[in-house]
Amino acid sequence: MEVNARMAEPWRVLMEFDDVVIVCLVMFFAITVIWRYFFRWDTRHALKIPGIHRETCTRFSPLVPKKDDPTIIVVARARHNPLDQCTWLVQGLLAAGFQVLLIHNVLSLKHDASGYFVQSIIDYDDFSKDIQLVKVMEQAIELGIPRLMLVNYRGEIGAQRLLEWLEKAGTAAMSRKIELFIASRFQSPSIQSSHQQQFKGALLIQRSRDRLRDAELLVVASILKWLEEKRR
Amino acid sequence: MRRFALKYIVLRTISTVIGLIIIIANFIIWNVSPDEIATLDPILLYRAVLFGLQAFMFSWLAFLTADSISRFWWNRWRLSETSAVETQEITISTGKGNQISGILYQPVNDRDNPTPKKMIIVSYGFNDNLFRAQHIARSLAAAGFTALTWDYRGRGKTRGRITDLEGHLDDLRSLITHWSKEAITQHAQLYLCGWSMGGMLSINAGLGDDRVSRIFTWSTWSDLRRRVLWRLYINPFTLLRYLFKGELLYVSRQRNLKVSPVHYALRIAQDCGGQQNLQALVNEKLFMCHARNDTLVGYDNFKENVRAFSLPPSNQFIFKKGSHLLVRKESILIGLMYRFFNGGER
Repeated sequence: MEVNARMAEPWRVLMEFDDVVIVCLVMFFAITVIWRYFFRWDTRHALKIPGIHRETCTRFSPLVPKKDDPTIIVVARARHNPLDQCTWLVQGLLAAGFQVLLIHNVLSLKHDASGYFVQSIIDYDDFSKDIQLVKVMEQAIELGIPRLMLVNYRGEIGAQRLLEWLEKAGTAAMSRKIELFIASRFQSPSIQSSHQQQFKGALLIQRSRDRLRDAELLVVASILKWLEEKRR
Repeated sequence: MRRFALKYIVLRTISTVIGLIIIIANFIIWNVSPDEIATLDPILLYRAVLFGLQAFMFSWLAFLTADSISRFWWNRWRLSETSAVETQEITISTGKGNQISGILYQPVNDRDNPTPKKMIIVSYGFNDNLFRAQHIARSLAAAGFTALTWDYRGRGKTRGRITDLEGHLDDLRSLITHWSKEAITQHAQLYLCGWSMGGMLSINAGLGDDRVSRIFTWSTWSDLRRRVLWRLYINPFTLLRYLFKGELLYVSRQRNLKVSPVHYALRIAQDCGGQQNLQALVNEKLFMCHARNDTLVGYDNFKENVRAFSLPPSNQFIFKKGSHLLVRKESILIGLMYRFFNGGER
């Protein structure tokens, strides 16, 4: 009898534990969301892969090393974990056969770059604070490095600052001595016709909702193409 | 082979034991002894079966919803519009009455450049579609190549069944013929790139074809029947995925010979005139990557492919992590492809 009574309404057995079931489901959902958002797609620790030899704290050799690999200096000035922030960029450059010097302080650039065949500097920044760009340009000109790439990992504020700086007399004069490549989010109307020539060949992410994070592969590919074109 | 047979038997036994435990646990939870089954009320039994069916239907619905969401919204590489690339939807007639639809990605800044563009045909995996291949194709276009992603049979607008692997091979061969005659690539080089099933298609359709200059693949199987299918069949989640979608991947022994790179290696070695000639061909044309922790197409597939094709170390790259889709390794793949397709020089 007892068996039949329970079988008549079997869901009552589950109903006794409904709170526990709901809590478990919500926790499972929350863990899934947290995992996906914070851990799964980030690039943390991704440089710990075989083939990349981290000889010092800043120098990385290519994945498939060859003699006289050209070097690119990445000036990473992200506020939090600059190494982790631009791992994707370093990975792409290494895989394409470049040697990468990752530095955090512009003033040590001259010291760090000595002895390397430096093709270009990449300034990875949000361009929202100090006018470090001028310092990087000065250092690049002094070292005889012909190219500078500006990668803005933030949004419109950094982009507007970039435009303002490039219009300033001193920066404009410097930018004529050095070839510039820009990867940034720009809304089309903000680019005036006077900048069109300057931005020729640049990677512009056009929709306001698009982030640099979604265009990381495009940035790597565009940088490689730009370097190849300048090499010819 | 013996090791894998043993692994298969062990896993099969474990899954059977788990199944039996679930049945016994149900008897205990519902407080029913096996002797009472014959005396159960048929209406209650019918209700229990309906309850089970309902649970199954809900699972199916949840699966389809989660699958649709994951395809478009949980994809790591969301669509981002840039100044570097322009896209164009195209349809290509294969000449056998079939039509293949696809998307062509072209670099914008090279529009006025009269030199012929290098063309890459991108082939994705069994569970992917055009959208899930767009990040690779778009990046290759940003790097200066013209890239094409195409709908397999049973995907997008192309008619047929996704399980028709030989049909996909025919389609890729037709695409190679089409693009080798097309004006924008007529005097340029044609490259193939693909992962998982797309890697197999690229190797089997392009390695022996002189019109294809280079092939870059990752996470590709070596012998589908021997090294991959058993993994699918013993994995309950993967099996559910195929059952719910009605796309159960199965190949007979004869078809397996045509859709497995290892068997293709034997045939092409004969056609080339020996293993040494194959080695020279592979050295020039083929680059393969794989992750050690790939659970779907295991690392043993890569090792077998390397042996069969005599792939030199300079033409292979092994990731410690990344799993089947080489997650978080995409920028490395772009860099490696860029280098390989540009002749490996810097």
